This record gives sequence, C-alpha cells and structure tokens, in this order.
Amino acid sequence: METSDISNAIASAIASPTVVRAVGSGTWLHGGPVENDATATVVKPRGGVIEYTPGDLVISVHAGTTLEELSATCAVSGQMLAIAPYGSPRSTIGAVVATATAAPLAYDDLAIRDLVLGLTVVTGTGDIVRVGGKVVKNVAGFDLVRLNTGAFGTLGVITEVNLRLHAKPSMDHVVTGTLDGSPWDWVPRLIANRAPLPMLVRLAPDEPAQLFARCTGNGARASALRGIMQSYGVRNAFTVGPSDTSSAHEQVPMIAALRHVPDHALVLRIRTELSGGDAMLEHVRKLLPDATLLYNPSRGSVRVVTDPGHEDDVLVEQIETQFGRTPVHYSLVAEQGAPPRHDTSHVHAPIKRAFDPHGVLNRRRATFTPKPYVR
Amino acid sequence: MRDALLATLSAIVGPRWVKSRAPELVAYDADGLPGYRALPNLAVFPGTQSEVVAVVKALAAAGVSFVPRGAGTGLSGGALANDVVLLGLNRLTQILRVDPVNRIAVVEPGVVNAKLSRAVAPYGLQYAPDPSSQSVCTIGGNVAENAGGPHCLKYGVTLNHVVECLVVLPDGRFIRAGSAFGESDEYDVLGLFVGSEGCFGVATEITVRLVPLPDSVHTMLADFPSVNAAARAVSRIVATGIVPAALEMMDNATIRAVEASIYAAGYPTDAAAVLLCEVDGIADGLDEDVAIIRECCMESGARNVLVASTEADRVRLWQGRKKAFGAMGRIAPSLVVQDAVVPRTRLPDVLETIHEIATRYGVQVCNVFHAGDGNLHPNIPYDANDADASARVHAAMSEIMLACIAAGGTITGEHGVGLDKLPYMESLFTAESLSAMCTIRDVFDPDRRANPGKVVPVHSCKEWHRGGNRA
Repeated sequence: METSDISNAIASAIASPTVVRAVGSGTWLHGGPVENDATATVVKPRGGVIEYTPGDLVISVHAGTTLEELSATCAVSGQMLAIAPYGSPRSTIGAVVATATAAPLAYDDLAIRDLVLGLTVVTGTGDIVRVGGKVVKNVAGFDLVRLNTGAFGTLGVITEVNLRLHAKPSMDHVVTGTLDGSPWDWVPRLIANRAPLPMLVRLAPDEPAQLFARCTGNGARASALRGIMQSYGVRNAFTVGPSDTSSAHEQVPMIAALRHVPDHALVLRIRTELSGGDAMLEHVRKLLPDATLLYNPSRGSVRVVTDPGHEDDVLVEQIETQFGRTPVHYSLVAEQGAPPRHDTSHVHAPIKRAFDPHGVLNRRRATFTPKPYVR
Repeated sequence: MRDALLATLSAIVGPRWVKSRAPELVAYDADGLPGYRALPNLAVFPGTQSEVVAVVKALAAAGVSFVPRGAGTGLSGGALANDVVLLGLNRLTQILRVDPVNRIAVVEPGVVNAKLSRAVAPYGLQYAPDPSSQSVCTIGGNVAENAGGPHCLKYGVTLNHVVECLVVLPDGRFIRAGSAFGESDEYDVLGLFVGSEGCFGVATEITVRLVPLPDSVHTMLADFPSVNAAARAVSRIVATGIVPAALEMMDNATIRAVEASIYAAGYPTDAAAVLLCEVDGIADGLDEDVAIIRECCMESGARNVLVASTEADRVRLWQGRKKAFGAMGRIAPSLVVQDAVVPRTRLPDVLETIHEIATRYGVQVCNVFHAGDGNLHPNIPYDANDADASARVHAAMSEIMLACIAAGGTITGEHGVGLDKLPYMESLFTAESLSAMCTIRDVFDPDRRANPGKVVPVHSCKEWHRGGNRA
C-alpha cells in the first residue's frame, strides 16, 4: 500500500471505529506482539527502492522492502546495510526498524538505531510525517526518527526508510571456536580484554560455549584480530566466510543459522551492565535450561530464544523475580512474545496518546500500566 | 514579580549566584552567534543538582520561562534568553563516577568536554565526541545540541555516546531517559532528548559511554590543486571500506587564515584545499590503510600527501584545524560559523554555489568542514557593527542554507537550529512534520517555558493555535 492509502485506512479506522494492524512479511507475528484483533484493518506498506546514490552511501526504500532485496541491491555497488538482523531474510526493513531488533555480529557493533537517517510515518491521526533526512548528520528539529525506532508501531506506521550504508571492507571473516568452563571463567576475560571487534557467544543446552568474532579490514588487521580472539582461550578455532573481496557476511551459512528464529519461538532480550554478564547468564540458564542464549559481551546483552511452551507473561514475571533478588540491574525487551510491562511514567503514556489519541495502532503492544517513575 | 522571583531564587542558590543588574546580565546577552543579542531578565546559577530542581520548580510555580545554558559556545543562538530567566549550569562541574570496567562515566552537565577525556585517559579510555570547542564547551551543552566533532566520522556523535540522562522536566519532575546498562522496552526518550536544545528540560546527570584509546594513530595531510579534486578523494576513500577516524577539509581561504595566525600548522598556502585524514585502532593494518588513502588522494589529483612522523607533527596538524575558527578572528571582528550538511556527492557543486553566492554578496567565505560526513561549515568573517555588511552576510547565509536544502541536505549537522536556523525549518519539513514536533514538545513542556521560541516556529504548531496562544 502507498503511504496515502495507509493514511486513509487509519482515518477510516478512527471513524469506524476499529483498529489498524501493520504488517510487513508477517514473519514476526507468531508471538503476537502486534495487534491480533481479527477485525483489524490490515495495512501493508509497499516495497521497493525509492532512491539509491551509491556515492552517498545512502538508500531510501519503501518500508515493505525485504532485507534480502535490500542486500542484493547494495551488493551490486560493493555496499551493505551494516547489520543482518535476527529473523528471516524475508523480514521487511520497516519491521526491523519498528522492533529495533538486534543483529548478531553487526559490523562495527552498529545497531539499527545508528543506521536510520529518516522515516516517513503515518501517525495514529492519519498524518503523514517525514522526519530526519538523507544525510548522515542531522540535528534539525526534534528526533522523531529515534522515537519511532523500536516503538513497535505504536506511534505510527513506518512507510519509508532512509538508511545509511557502509562500503564492504576488503576482508570480512568470522572466526569461531569453543570456550571451556563456565561463564564466570570467561565472561570477565572477554570484557576486560575485549578486542575492537564484534563478538557473540552461543550457549545451547548440552553444548560447549561457542565464541564468534567478526574480523574485518585489510589482511593484516583481520589476521591480528584473529590472533587476539584466539588469545581468549578459544579452542578448535576456524574461519568461515568468503576470502575474496566480494565478502557477503550475511550469506555465510553459519551466521544465517545464528540469525534464524524458530517458528513460534519466544524471544527476549535482556541487557545488563557489562560486569553483570556472568551473573545474568547464570540466572537465565537456571531459569530456562532449555533455551539457547546468545550473549554479546560488548553490549552486555543476552538474547533468549526458547520454545513457546512457556506462558510468556509468566516467564517475564519469573525473570523479573529472579533478577529482582540480585544486585544486577537489567532491562528486558520481549521481542517476540509477551507485551512489555511498560514502566510507564508521566512521559511514556502521554507520548503514545500524543501520536495515537484514538488508540488505533498496535493496541496490544501499548498496554500501559501506569506506574510512577519519578524521584 | 521580578523582585519576588529574585528573592526566591536567591534563597535557593545564594544571592551571589543570581544576577539581576544590567551590567551583570550583559555578559550573558549572546552566545557564539554574532549579530544576535538578547538580555535575560535574570540569570541564576545553581551549584548542586538539588538547587537546579528547586530553581526549576520555583520557575514553574511562577510560570516563568527559562533558557538552560552551558558554556555559551553554541553557534545557533540556542542559549539566548530574551527577557526570560537564564539558567546557567556551568557550576555543575563534578565528574561523579568513572567506572572503567563497565566503560561509563557519570558527570554533571557543566563538565568541560576535554576535561572528561583527560580524566578517563589514565584508564586507557576516552570520551570520543570532540567538538572543536572541546576545551571550553560542556557535556550538557553537547547533549542539548547533539554535538559532533572531527572524530565523529568513525566514532559517532554525542547521541551514540550518551546512555542515560537524569532530566528535570520544566515542571520540576524527574525522568530517567535511557539506561546505564542499555536499551529497554520503552520509547527511546533518550534519543529524543539528546539534541532537543533544552526544549524538553535540563539534564542534571549524564552517563556517557567511554571507548578504549586507540593503540596507534596515523595522521595525514593531502594538498590539492582544486576543491573538486579533494572532494573526489573523499568519495574514493570512503568507497574503499576504510572508515577513517577523521576526514576534514579546509579551503584556501581557511588555510591562509590559519597560516597567518599563531596556530600556523605548516599547511601549503598555495593549495586550493587540504584534507586532514586520520586512521586509528590496533596497530596492525594501519600502514596498509595509510597506503590506500595516499593512493586515493594521488589518483584524485593530490600534489602531495604528508604523513605526520612524530606526535608533535600530529598535534600541529590538528591544531590548525581545531583553531581554524579562532584564526579567522584575524580577518574581521565577528565570525558566522554556519553548519549545514549535504550528500557527499553534492559537495563539489554546493561548494561552487557557495562561492558564487559569496561573490555576488561581496563577502568572504572560509570553508572548513567534516568532509567525510558532508557536514559543511561555511564561515563568514565580518563586522557585526556594520549594518550593510551584516545585511549582506545574512542574505548570503540564507541563500547558502537554501542551496544546501535544495541539494538534498539539511540545515544543521551538529550545532542545532536555535534561533538562527528557525526560518529554514519550514523549507525543510512539511507542516505535518513540524506539527508532530510540536506535539512531542507538548508532552514535555506543554506551556513552552523551556527555551521558548527555539527549534520549531511557533506558528507551525496547529494544536498550539487550537488551544489559543498561551505564550
């Protein structure tokens, strides 16, 4: 659908009254974080490239453009979107921005928040709002780009996205190997000696911990980074990825496997202080022995992928209880599963009301439980 | 009313820290933007976070507007307080905590940028954003403007390095925006707050991310016979996949100003443009990066590429760039430092347009800018007391800003909209987009008492008009 059609659909929904459900490829709907009302009006932003000037390393696309389409377009000019987010390559860029989903081994540890330059958003009033721009630095006006990034479509339907691209480095390898011992043996070492490269540890039930590190740059640097990575005590290390200049990190099968999210899985992101990483892993492992954990030592975050046998609300509560007993500070994002327990203050609920006064957008996600957040 | 407020504020911060007489206030009638002056009604300087809260609450109770101010180095008139209360934050200078394990520091807003980097250097860490005014500008001001700097090409702007702010809203309530340990499921209020130019409240405590100091740094100076050739080199370098720590361009007018000043850096005065390029990181592979960048420059038409061989050489090359604005002080008593961004591929033709505009208005433009980001700083030295010169400068700047918008760019990359750029906001954004900005401001400051009249033109706010003009 064109932006103007979506605006009209929202206006009709307000008048009906009913609600609007924004969908991309439909790959993130299983856990139900978006509005599942059967009577909802479904709006689906169209896909396709609007404008691409490789010399500027900037691309403008319709929000329904899939990641694989985007990747293929940029690859022709030796460029890339510097993250390859979790989930299906058929996911749309609009959904990636709306969920601010993380990415394993993102180039230079970038997040989608760092790469979105501008957005077109249809708010809950049907207004078409264009924010940000097409240049890499922009502080003109209030930053509604960041506000909509990760808002799960509760403030508006994203219909167009301007993205910052990166030129592909001459070498782009992933080195992987196993780590011995428990997290409290190697987590402090990883944090204290972290090399300037993106890293990820995969902890699956009954398997040794596996460290992945993305080594990029020229040959000498990639080789040095490999050496640093092996100094962490990694065993059986080997390199995966293309060795020529046509690197395509996101197409390496092992990385694609890391990005895969099983159907109907429950996905949570938990983040803590860097120094709390070992305690966090210990607690999550104890609570969810069957889950696969993906730990990013540079961000202090762990992605929890578990089966949907858990009642998502109950699980979130259990995690909160578990962490509540420890001195570990943490944040929790239910990416695919339970709606968040917004620690909504006098600010978050009014923001929602300001852009969606009729409550037509992604109602389930925006379940606010007023709770004072003031000192 | 004024006397009552004076008494209230004096009781909070002590009489010494409230300025009310014209001779005292005149020191705060301008920031770094020449040609604009506005006298505050009162100026108050709290010395603790609790005093800030008490002051803000007192102003809320009295229904009085205020303008937060750090070092006053802003270049867009954002810290001008026209007949309202100026809230000076430059007494809040404590670095409250440095946590090298978690790589964060918690600071008060009045901490000077360079002081923070000096304080964390013994831990092998740095606060990466480095505005050219870093020896005097404050972290609070950097947050308000989402400041940049030469090294932001690789490391990112202020937004990428601030993880949490404790904010006093204009009604005196607190919010904690962001989190010291990362993302949350809430709206990105921190992303919204950084760069909001003091319109949403005052940050009293700021948690910043620290990054390791690089093991090794190589700095180069390439000189070019034309600006076009230098711009071509920029595109070539970026296309290799190397992300330089900095990629700065200076044109001939800037080079000559620097070389004629006490900041002379040894730049070739006959070059049409020079590129100052730096790569850093782990030592391995940097020599190869230097070789590739040299090749990019030479293939683009550079006459020479000089690599700093000693730390002293490196510091000297950077001094010329960082002090370029100061060097222009020799040319004329006032200097407009403008700030626009254009797509990198449009740099050559926009620079040509700027030259044409300058010639037509009979003003001298010195260009010094962050070429890797397309972030231009066309600077015009002039005499702000000369009405004719001021009018010509103003007209030339307006055309330059509109030319940058027409090229697909924007009106500010790191200095903010403030007062100076307000007229261009309607050329840049639609009425609906501006209205959305008003909507979000209303959430934080429904009475528009925090930095009134800045960033978004008031007449753009449809809700504001619907509710009647509450100014």
